Amino acid sequence: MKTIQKAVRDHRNGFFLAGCIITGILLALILLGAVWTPYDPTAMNGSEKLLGPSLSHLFGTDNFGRDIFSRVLKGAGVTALVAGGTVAIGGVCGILIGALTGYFGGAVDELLMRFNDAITAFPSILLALVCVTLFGSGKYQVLMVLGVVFIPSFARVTRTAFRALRDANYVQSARLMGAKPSRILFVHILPNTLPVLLPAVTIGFNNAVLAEASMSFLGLCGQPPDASLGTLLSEAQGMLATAPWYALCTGGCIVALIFGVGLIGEGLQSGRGERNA
Amino acid sequence: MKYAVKKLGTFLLTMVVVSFLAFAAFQLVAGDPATNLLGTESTPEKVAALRHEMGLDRPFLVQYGSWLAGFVTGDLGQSYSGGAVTDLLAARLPVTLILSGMTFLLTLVLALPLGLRSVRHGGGVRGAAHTVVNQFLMALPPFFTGILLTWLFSILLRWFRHGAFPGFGTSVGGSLWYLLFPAVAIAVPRIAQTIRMLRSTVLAEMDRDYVRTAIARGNDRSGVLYRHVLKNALVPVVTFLAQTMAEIVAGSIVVEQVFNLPGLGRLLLTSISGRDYPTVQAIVVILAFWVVLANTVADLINQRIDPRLRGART
Amino acid sequence: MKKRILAGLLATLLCAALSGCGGGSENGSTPGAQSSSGSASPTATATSITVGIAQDLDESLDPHLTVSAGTREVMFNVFEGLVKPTPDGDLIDAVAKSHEVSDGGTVYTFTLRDGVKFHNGAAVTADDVVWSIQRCADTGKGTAPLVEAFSNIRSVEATDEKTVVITLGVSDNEFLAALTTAILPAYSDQQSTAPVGTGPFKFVSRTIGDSIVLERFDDYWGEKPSLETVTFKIFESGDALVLALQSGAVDLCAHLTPTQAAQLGDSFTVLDGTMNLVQALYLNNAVKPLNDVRVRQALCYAVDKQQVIDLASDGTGKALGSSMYPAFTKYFDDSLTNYYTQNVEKAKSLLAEAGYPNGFDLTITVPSNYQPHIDTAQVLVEQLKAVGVNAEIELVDWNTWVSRVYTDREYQSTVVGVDASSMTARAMLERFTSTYGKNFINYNNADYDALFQEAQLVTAANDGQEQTALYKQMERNLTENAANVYLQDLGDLVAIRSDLTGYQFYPIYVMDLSGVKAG
Repeated sequence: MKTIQKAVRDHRNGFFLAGCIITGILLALILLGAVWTPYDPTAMNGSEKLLGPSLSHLFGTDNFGRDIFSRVLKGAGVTALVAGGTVAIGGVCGILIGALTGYFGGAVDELLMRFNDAITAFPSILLALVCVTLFGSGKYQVLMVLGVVFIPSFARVTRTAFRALRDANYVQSARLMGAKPSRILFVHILPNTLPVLLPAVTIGFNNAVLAEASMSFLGLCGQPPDASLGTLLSEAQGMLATAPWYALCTGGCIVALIFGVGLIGEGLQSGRGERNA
Repeated sequence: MKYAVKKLGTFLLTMVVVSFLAFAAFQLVAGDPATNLLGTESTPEKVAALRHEMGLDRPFLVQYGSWLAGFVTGDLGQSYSGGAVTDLLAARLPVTLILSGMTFLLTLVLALPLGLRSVRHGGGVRGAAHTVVNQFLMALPPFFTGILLTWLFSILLRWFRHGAFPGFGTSVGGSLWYLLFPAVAIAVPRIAQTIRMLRSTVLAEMDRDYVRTAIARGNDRSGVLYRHVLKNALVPVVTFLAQTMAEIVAGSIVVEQVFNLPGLGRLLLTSISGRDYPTVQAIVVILAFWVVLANTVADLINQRIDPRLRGART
Repeated sequence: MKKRILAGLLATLLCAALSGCGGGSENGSTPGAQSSSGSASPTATATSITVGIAQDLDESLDPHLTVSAGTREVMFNVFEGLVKPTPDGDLIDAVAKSHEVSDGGTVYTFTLRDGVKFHNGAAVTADDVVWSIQRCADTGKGTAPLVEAFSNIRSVEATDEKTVVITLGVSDNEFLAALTTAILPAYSDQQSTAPVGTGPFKFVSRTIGDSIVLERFDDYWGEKPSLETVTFKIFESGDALVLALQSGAVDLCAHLTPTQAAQLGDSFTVLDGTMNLVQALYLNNAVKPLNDVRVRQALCYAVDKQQVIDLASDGTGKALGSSMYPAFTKYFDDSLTNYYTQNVEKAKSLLAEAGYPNGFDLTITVPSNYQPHIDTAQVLVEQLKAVGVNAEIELVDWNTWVSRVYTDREYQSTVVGVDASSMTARAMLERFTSTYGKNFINYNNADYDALFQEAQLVTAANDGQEQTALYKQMERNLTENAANVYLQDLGDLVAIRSDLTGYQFYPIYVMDLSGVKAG
């Protein structure tokens, strides 16, 4: 919390503010899309095929005459849901594992880190693709798979941060005063690692958006007419010559999502100096 | 030397773990290859015979060992789609390797000078503008950039013919020219990330006492930058560049699809949708090998740059 | 065993019986073909073209082992049988010069054409023909013969160098269609990787997953093709295919969707034909609630075929009402097409009668590599909503589709196209008899089975008049019992570079490049 407050207070930190504004608008639109869209995103209309952007169809229409704006709203919702879920699963598990191994160290730590090295040798999309081969494709499978795939990177960051703090004076004195390890871990150390962890979460979120969009672009996430941004973009690719706005609007939405959160991360980091996590 | 041997050891160990994971995962979940191969014509007798023929009735570790040995001898078994996995890979491997190599070179050639320039601009408004542009470029997914490049250079300007990748056997120049576009698509966010990394590392280094002292003593600022700072900042940058190899490989899996390139990524996707596990397995291990190799090489280079690393382990 | 088949176009029974459909097909308006020889340049210019295809060919290129329609389509240029089909739906002599049928339709005598050579340079002999036919009739391994209709063959013999006599057990007036089976050099064993036939093009090379190269066969007995080399390049993604067409990397491509074709601009002529298949929402007649005829009828009433055609195929399809498409002029019964017209109220009341007043959940399993079926399914989902049926699309890869839907029949409904591999009505209709091994919709109707039996018994009589009537009754039976929700014969759009002419449509699923020429 403190980091955020500090970042907001720091008037030079325009990145953070700009990022919040962009992300805030997008989130508001996504939430709106969950309850209301200008048109039924799956309703087809033969007389309004492949129309360009206009006031009645902000992003134009696709080859079924469906309103692209409505579909993008829904699609962004799916993408954000999967990315958010991924970060939640990967973050919670990763931070837990990283905290324990970083604080206690020992053989288990060494073993897990070797394992971690092996896992991070795979590009995360490759790993996710393999898992999808094994467990089948679909929105929730991809969410679970990406969540698990993202655990190691969170664990690594957390481990380093906890390692650095486990011998800090205030931690040692807490230990001497007889504080339980769980209290030391989560009450004493965790809040102080937030300056490292929060940017890691923003980076993780962006990687998750990218991973989800890639997977769905490759057709491994969700069934039609359900669509996430990647699915829409892959549909749009086929209509590039007649309806370039389709690809531009969908792709632009992915870019905006990543850009906004990226700026937030940038702001959080520049709030605490330039060192990279 | 000792360091190099140790790194090599770690490299081999990591590869063993990686390949074991890949092997075990498919062994557990993929079901029996013999049954898969026979499909609807399977009978218990036929399956048993084929299992024996394929060596599936041997102990798990023996199978793993012989599969692993296959990577050395070049026999990766039979693809379910017919033909040897090795043959399938041999045709596809060059495309992916050259694409990722080109992307890496582009990243290197563009990111280092641009990164250093951006350092000299330092902070202020220009620095902030830099950061924003950088963040924007980082937000461009390779497949989207690929689509934009296709639209611009293939459909509108007709600089290259999308889908007409000639293949290295036909035209080396034409192939390289074609690969340039996907390489750029993958490289853009990588370049931005590397610049950002370089900038923050160098700026942090510039703040350190020895640099301040050197400059205070009247040394030329850019001289200090190149002679001292860069050398120290190089280690994390090299490590970072090696890590981008994983990202580049990931990018090429998707971008090969956008540009219809006959590379490993596209083979991987067809194999996944065809449930062709032997091929998927082999591709996974090869791509992982490529990434781990890049990281090991980076470690070795770093050790040359900074001998202190020989003792330390990070 | 990867069967990379053009999804939905089921390579079906290679069975056959006589006569086929003699009438001209009404599809295949080929604007390019007509205006071809306007400026007739006497010297055929050497040309090479690239043809885009949507999927790799079968693992084996051996024509006798081919399972997929997509492979047959390409290899049609390489192989020929004793007879071969024409664009009009007739059968003409190919490797044979002439043939005679005698003894009440049980003895077929073929005289071989002079000067027919294999691509390896050897002349075709009667022994090659006997070997090829015996190979496909072989039941030695206790399996069904490679060509189902050949199980009826009693003997095949070469009476002299140029004459082959085939004797049947019982007469079969659809038998000639089965003799389109490829003639191969006797004892050839490299066909799966290096196929050798007698067709206008010879096989040069193949890169698995990427391309196949064919070359003009200069010793071809008939009119030699004008194209010198043809490269078939594989584009798994339709999007990439369109971009390749736009960039000029691909010169010819069949089976485009209207959306794809609309993007091509002036450098391409788009020819408009039909695919010759029956696209339907195929229903598993054995599972609840689809085992109730009222439910199936309700689905039929819920669907507006014309809207499907307009939305998913831009109006290029031809509406159908049963398992027969219009190219089979003799058997096609147009009165069935509008047997069901969209009537939401009626659909709802039928559902209520069947005990589903609030509708039910329906899973539509669709092979993921074929966009027209996916598009159609998306429209169906919307239409079914109106009657309370909550349909959901499940995309599966082609192999999964073949094993789960086609082989194991573990599905509720699916959108695919079913085609006929030979030009016989039997190829379309036998599949729904209750005992047939590939009756994947589990259709079980005693009347239907009886009609089919009867149709086989009357074969020899009256030039098939009676048989045709019986086949039509079978079609009506399928419609009345709403065996499937019949939709359309998909439009087949072929894009061909504007300066190329001579592409012809066939009433079966093949791509003939022998007539294509520049100028």
